[in-house]
Amino acid sequence: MDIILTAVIAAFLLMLIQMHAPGLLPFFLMIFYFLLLAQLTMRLLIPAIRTIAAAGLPAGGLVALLAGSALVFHLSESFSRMMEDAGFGPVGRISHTAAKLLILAAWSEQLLEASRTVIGLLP
Amino acid sequence: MWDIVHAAAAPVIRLFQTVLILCAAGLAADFLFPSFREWTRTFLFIAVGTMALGPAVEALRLLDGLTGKMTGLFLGVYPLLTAGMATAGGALTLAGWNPAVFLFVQGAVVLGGKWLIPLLTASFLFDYLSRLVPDVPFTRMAEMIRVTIIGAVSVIAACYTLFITSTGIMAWAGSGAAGEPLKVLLRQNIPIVGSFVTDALGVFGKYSAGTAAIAGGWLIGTILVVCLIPAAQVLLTAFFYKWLAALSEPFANEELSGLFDDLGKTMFVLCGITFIVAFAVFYTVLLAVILIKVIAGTG
Repeated sequence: MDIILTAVIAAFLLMLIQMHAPGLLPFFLMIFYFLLLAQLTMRLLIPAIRTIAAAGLPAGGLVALLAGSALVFHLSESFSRMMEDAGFGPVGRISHTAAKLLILAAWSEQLLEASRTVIGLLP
Repeated sequence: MWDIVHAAAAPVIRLFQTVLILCAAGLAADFLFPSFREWTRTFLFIAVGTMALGPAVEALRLLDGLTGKMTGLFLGVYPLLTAGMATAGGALTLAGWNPAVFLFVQGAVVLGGKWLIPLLTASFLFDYLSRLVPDVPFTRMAEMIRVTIIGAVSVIAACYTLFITSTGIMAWAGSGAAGEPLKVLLRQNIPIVGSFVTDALGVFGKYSAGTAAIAGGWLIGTILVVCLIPAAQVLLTAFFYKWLAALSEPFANEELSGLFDDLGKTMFVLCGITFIVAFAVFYTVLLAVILIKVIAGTG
């Protein structure tokens, strides 16, 4: 709830900046964006994933892995779109590629296990 | 008996819980992060599909080991048994066994171990790969392999029936009429191998009816149960796969439920192969029992 409140206040501040100092708008936009994103991630998403991982479900690790990689992908995608809007497209694309590689690395154990099972079927 | 049911059921039940939770997590991920959908599908398939292959591979390994051991056993024991039968004087005529059955049983087990089980492994692989990469489908190939194996196993079963009825003394002494509705029920309700299971039971029945006079009814029953345990275990696993496919269809990906369905079909075929092995075990143990009885002079 307070994240929505923060977002509204940030929007008012941004409007104020837009009226009085339009040149500073991208700078402040990025600052507020990261503040909100950090708040959202730290206070809502990561505790939720922790709760799932600690709930003792039969596939808790895998669920947490799936949720974590989806989260990383989402964050990285929104970051790269933000960069694109600010005019720094290449930077965003590189960071997005890095995030994809990170996700693949996190799943490498599962991928290896799958390939081991399939290869183990062969004589 | 419940131990066997539990042994067959426990991994599959755990698998079902995992599939349920992972599919729910996948749905949640799709809702929260729609742009991740493609990845979610792939990762879910890799994680769950690999887990799903587990019990099937286990059953395959079990059967592979069993046929390997049976082949070794035949090579070691059959010359001994035959020689024993010959020296025991008239045991062969007493039991009315065709010596060609020796060769046939061994040949069937070798065929099962060397050809049918590797072919079935290939069918597992084809199913998995065609679901993993839907653009390169091997589903017809897997289906063809299954149909071929079912054909081979049916021919072997028919040959067993032929051998046993041609030797003469194996009259169906049990209450055949009483078992008939049960047979029809089994035939209609167990997919693919239903008629085959009833035929196999008929063969066992004929066989044991002829030898019950020599070896004793309870002994025959015990041997039969012990021999059919692997078949029952594989059959239960196959049914659990079918259940898994049916239960996960509403909320899982189409690929996942399709994979479970295919695995279930393949497991039913595997159950057909277990019959060959079960018959070989039954035959060998019975032969040993009768030989001992004959030597001891009570036959």
